[in-house]
Amino acid sequence: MTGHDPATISTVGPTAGPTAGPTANSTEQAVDTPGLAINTSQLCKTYGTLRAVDHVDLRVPTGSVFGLIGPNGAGKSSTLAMVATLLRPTSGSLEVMGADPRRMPRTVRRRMGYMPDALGVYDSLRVDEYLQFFAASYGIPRREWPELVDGLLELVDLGVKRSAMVNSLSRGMKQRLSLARALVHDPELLVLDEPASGLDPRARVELRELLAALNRMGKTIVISSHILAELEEMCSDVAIMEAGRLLASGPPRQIFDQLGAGRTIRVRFAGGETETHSVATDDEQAELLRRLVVDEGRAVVEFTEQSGGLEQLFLTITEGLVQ
Amino acid sequence: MSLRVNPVLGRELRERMRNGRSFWVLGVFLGLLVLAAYLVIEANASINSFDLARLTRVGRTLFEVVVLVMLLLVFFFVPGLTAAAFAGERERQTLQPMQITLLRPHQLLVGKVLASMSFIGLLIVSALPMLVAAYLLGGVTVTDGLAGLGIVALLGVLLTTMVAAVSARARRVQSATLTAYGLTLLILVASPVAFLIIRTVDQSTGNDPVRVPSIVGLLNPVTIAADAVGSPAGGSADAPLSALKHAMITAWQDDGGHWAWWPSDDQDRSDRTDPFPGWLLGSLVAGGVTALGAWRGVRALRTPAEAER
Ligand SMILES: Nc1ncnc2c1ncn2[C@@H]1O[C@H](COP(=O)(O)OP(=O)(O)OP(=O)(O)O)[C@@H](O)[C@H]1O
Ligand SMILES: [Mg+2]
Repeated sequence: MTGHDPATISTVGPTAGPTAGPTANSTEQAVDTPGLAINTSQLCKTYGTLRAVDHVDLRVPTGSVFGLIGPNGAGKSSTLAMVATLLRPTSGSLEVMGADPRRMPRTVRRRMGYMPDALGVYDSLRVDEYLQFFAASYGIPRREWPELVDGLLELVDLGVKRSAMVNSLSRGMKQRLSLARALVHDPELLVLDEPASGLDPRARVELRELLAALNRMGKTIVISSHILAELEEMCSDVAIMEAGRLLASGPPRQIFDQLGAGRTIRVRFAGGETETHSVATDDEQAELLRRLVVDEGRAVVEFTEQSGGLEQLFLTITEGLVQ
Repeated sequence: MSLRVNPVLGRELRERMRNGRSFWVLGVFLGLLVLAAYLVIEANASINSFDLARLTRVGRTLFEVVVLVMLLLVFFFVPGLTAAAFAGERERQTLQPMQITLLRPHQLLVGKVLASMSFIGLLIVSALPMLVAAYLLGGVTVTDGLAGLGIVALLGVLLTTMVAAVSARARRVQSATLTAYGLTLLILVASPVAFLIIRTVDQSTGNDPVRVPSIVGLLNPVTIAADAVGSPAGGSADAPLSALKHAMITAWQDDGGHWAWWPSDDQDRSDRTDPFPGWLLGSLVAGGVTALGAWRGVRALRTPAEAER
């Protein structure tokens, strides 16, 4: 696979999420677009001579679950830190919930919850006290704390640990506590930097369900990861980054189709025999199944798209850049 | 309560209470203070308890030794206890989540300073019994006692604020601790060293009498405490703060009585026994320096996105 032109892919407009209406294909330079939770234009961040984020146009539709994918060092964390009012862009424009984090950091902070990739937790604080501290820091009245903390702990399934010391929690629990902290002030936008790293498979599934539930509550969620299979299922939109550049963005299917990238189908037959087939489109996939079952009359017991469809896409695109 | 007033303060107090280190420090502090008091009593053990005048002097000495040792211990412990305030959070990566809340940078600094202050308060309160003992022996008034506690608290707060500001600018606890102790040492020795240097220079230029601007001698926590607490008459050489104050006044009178910014001889005020309240002057300068440090510390607590617009 060689040289897909990233430009043609990245013009893919944002799709409508659950709460957003039909959105126009936004090839124009949108300023103050109401349907966008995050809107960056030519966003750059350099560390010395290193371009960590290189002219990125990121458009996150309101109400979407947006996956930011890229290998290590792609610039995902740097991008999200700029969104989270923590890092100053070197150049370019940036709007989060309609406000520029540089000029109105507090406006952004009120409406955005951020979970960094690093899990810093205090030494001698209990789980409920930890959340109370952040509730206080967001100026939430004290009388609302008990209900708030109960609700959050239930949401992230840490109710039994409410009196445990924060530093005694397992990594996965700390991660969930960190997520609860990001939710303390009921933000409309959640920015999660690799929330799934270090979680066991079960916890990943739970996280996915939790994020889906939060999305149904109307929250826009931006999540970065290099665990692609996971994002594929939960994200309505993805953006693929490498070496600071945005290579593609849009709904996963749309990117697939634009690329004509193949998917791999794994078929298992009664008796344990397996085969893999490559198909390009849904039609081809349906045709394959029909052929196997109807034409050839074989006993298909399993017919799955290989997890890693996105992975494949990712490899395809990033490979394209290297060559 | 404290969580409402300043969330950082509330959290710090909880953490400190659970953290064994505070009690360890409190123990060492009290142990050393008791030891100092014991040495004072022991040195005067031969006194006949009917010699009231001498008993009074022992009371005075005990009081001043306790205040002085308390001050030095506060200066010894504050850098170690406060240097990690922000540098530690940076290291543990807990600072950023706090920075993106609605707390403002100065609230972060104030919370940390208040937490350290309340610990200093605890140390001071724990030293009260020894001050009461001195009071019972005599030679000390309640006003003296309050002045002693007040000046230790004031200087402790100023130092805590400086060290917290240093911590706000440091990346690592280790460098914050080194800088904080370096700064504290500088605060303690700068004035005497400057005093000596100026005097030497003055002497070598043949000036007689030698004149060092009095303010130089007052930019030091110990001289500030001596001026605030010591009795101008000097008393026995055993009472350290009074002895120091006496020496300062003598120098001042030799100088023609100028608690001045620079040496001059256009006025003669040597008839006044208790000159300008030097402790106030010294404290004001210290407060100014601290305010500058605090301002820089607060700036360092803004996120890069907010800073340098
Ligand atoms: N504070 C910094 N100073 C200098 N260089 C940095 C800094 N932070 C990040 N970088 C560099 O910027 C580039 C992008 O880093 P970033 O952390 O944004 O990548 P990432 O996509 O989040 O990677 P990962 O998947 O490993 O988390 C990397 O080359 C990194 O070395
Ligand atoms: Mg990262």
